[in-house]
Amino acid sequence: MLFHVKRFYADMRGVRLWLLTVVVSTFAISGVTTYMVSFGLDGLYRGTLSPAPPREPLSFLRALDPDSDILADVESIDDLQDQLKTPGMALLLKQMTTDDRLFMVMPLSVVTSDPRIFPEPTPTGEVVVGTRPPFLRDAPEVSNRGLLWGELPAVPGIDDRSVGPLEVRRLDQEPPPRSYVAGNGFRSETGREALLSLTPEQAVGLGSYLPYSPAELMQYVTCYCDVDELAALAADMSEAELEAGSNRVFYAIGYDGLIGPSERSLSVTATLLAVFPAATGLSVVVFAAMATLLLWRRREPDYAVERLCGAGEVALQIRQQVLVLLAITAPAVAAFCVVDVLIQGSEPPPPWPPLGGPLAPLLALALHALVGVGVARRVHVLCRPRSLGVGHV
Amino acid sequence: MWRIAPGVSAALLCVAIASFGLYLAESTRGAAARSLGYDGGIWRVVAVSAVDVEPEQRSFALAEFCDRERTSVAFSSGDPKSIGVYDPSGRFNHPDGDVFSALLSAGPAPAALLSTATEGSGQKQRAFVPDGVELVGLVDPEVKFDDYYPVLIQNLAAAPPRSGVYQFAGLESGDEEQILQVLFRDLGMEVIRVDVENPVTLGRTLSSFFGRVIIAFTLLSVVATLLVTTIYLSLDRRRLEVAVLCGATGKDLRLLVLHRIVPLAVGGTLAGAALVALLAWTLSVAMLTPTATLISVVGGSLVVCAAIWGVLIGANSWWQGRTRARALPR
Repeated sequence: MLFHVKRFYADMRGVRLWLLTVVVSTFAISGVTTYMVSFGLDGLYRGTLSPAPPREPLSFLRALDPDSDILADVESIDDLQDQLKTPGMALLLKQMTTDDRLFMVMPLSVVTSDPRIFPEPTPTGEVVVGTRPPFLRDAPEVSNRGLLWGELPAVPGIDDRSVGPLEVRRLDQEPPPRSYVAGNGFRSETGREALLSLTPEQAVGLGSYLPYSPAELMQYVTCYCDVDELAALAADMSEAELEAGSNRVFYAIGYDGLIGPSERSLSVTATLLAVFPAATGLSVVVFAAMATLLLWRRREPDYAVERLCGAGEVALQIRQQVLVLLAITAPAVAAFCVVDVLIQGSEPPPPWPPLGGPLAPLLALALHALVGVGVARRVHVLCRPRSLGVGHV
Repeated sequence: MWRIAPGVSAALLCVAIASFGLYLAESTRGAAARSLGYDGGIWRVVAVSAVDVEPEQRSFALAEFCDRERTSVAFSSGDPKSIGVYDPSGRFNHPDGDVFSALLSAGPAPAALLSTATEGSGQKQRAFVPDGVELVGLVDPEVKFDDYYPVLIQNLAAAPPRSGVYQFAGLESGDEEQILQVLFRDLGMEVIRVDVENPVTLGRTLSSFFGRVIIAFTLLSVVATLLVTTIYLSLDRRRLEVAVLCGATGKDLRLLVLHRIVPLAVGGTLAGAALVALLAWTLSVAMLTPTATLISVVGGSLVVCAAIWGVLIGANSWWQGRTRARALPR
């Protein structure tokens, strides 16, 4: 044992300049790759565009509001109208109480924009407004309280038991799995955020004010129904607005109208931005494989002599694999951890759990295997019975 | 496997450089499509009404400013899907041609264009167009204003300037900020903020923090390629040593090295370019970049790769010829 430890030290001394180069470049490249991938996958975190149309009929709402004036003089919040109480929105929310295919999913800040109840910025979270939308079918029936999955950090007006004037029942479960196409064209997946489920009546009570206009709120509406069905509702909503003296027009669009050339172009740039680090990363793996091969070639004559003097194959294999671990795998993992600790606090956080979760050891193992298997094969060839002790060129 | 390693490195380097080139080309086009198709710098002004001025007077002053400065303006108040456009110099571009000019030809009468996205929405087109405004055409929603596809595009007579967001295309006088301040004072408005959105260029992209990451990555990739080539020649050393024993000079060794590396580098680079061309061809359906630009980007990356490999191979063959010839006694 001690013999092999000493010989391992000799292994490292024999290739010290190469070893240093390999360790430093592996560390640097792994760190930059981690950063770039976190940067490039930012889009994935927000939800990905879904280019393949879903099977079920989907339709979405839009509003055109030529008269809206976001910079109008406002003396106080009392001059403003709750955006969920406009005639058109009221009609939409009423329809939601009877039609469970129609729902809204939006950031918590949209329904908590009343500074009188929520004087401080509210925590990130998602709000589902609707009557048991498809992904919440199994939720318990509670009539007078909102349902909360996950945790909301307490700020004035919000804690785990209440959101503003509304009482909330917190469920000790993970948010239900979901996947649907949101009104802005992104496929929304189960996130890490807290999820608050409200009936339409409960949502109105909280207060949604400018800058969240009906035109913007429409982006959060999804209906698992045919576009003609939603178009009829949109026509009624426009009618109601017209009667109230507003020029606001609501209209329905199908899945085709959701994604335009600009969104498609954005998904292309995201792909190209992912190809770039993938190609550079692979060229580094090629370099790592070549470097381990070179380290082996430098040590090969010594190993042949040791083998002739009776050293076991297992010990020789372990020595080479530890060398690969020290030169490639360990610096790569270390750089990932360092960069991960640095960027976990950033906004948005990288799209993986702290320190990579279960995927990280698997990736490290794959990298080690990719680089180490060639060396293992060569050591095995050297140790074959009746081998002359000199490897092939 | 190590015998083709420099070729694999060459292919990967070419893929990396060409994919970044394509990314840059596509983001340039994407940025233009997000400012109504204008591919130059955009001056963005947020202004609010301060003094009551007649709407006609405001429209007149803004039109006169645009004519004088040879610039185009698009603006919106609350809903970015409803915009006003005055484009006398035709700077805003639509893939379907100069659709915005229909607003100009309507003259002083209130006129509007409507997005085809409103078709099949179950609403009459008339419902989208305010009373007294003539509908002069339909446009495909292909370019954006302020991150939204416009639905209702009106001329100055139909949408007189008011509080909102203004985007000026083609202001190049040098003292833009000052002349914009003067303009909005004449319009009776108070300017809240002025920004300039410069077009995406190689220089600007590379000088940002993101660009530094890209440069670091490319450099690491080039260094990795250099090291792969060096290791390859080091592993291949015995061949050169035999040649030296047979009386080869440094020049002969250089030729031997070139003979081994050049086919690998050329083959690898071409394979990488073919891979990227295939990728671009697959993605081109969704890309805004025209095919001619795609071809020139891939061609340009081939030239850059050839230059990088020229340096790598030149340095390596020189070094090998020098060191190996001296390594063995004659």
